Amino acid sequence: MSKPLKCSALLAPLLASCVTGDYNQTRVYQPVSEEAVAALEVGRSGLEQALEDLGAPLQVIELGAGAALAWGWKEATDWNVTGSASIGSVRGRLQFANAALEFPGVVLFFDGDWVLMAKERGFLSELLLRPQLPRLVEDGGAPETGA
Amino acid sequence: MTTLTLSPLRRLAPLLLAVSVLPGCFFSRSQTNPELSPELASQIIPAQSTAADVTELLGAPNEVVQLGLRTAWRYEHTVEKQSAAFLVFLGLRGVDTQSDRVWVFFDSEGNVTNIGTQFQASEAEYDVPIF
Repeated sequence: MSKPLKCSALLAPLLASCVTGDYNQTRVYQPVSEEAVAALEVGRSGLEQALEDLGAPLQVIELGAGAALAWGWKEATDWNVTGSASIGSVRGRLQFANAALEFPGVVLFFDGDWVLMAKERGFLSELLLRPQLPRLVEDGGAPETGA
Repeated sequence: MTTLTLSPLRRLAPLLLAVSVLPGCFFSRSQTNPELSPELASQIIPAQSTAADVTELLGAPNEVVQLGLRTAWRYEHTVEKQSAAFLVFLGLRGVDTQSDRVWVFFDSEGNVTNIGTQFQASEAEYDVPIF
């Protein structure tokens, strides 16, 4: 079989059907320093040190009398391949995607005096979905509101 | 002596091939909220600045989080750079999102207790992935 004929034979299925692919690279924010997280001591470190060493968090969430501060980032690559073909009046389509939807990060849990109570690594969607504690009602009444 | 000369079509062949293999590409840049200035943020001093000082320097926050009687304000400026190349049956796309972010923490009296900053929006890059 001649070379052009071989090429045509290889290209024929692609022309009869259609296979397309996407290769995506995503970077969202930047990871915090492993050493800085390790240097924070549960029961000793405070909010000031956490902000100084890790920078501004992605999220701040009220958690009972304290708060949870989350730092998150994502660096991922994924494939998305779609194939479709028509045979007579029948049309078929097949799609494969391996997109990473999770958002990894670090969450620091502080008590009401801004003392670090716990630090956890993982996916933010899981770490921040824990049951919300009841909101703290402090003595001394509600804050003043504008009239 | 004979001189070999390429016909104009043959000379253009590499270019035509490149055009046929690279039928499209794009670059885009989008941003949310105005830029945050490190100089302005550095003027916010814990135990000295108040909520009024912060609004004067940075304007209205993007988010206010209630923490008991205390509050935390978030300011954020985000830049997203996207680039892509479309080959015949394959698209290559890169997205980079970076942000400048400032969190200011207040006590129940509206005095600044802590501030956290990061300025990375300018580090967003156009990057078509090559695997």
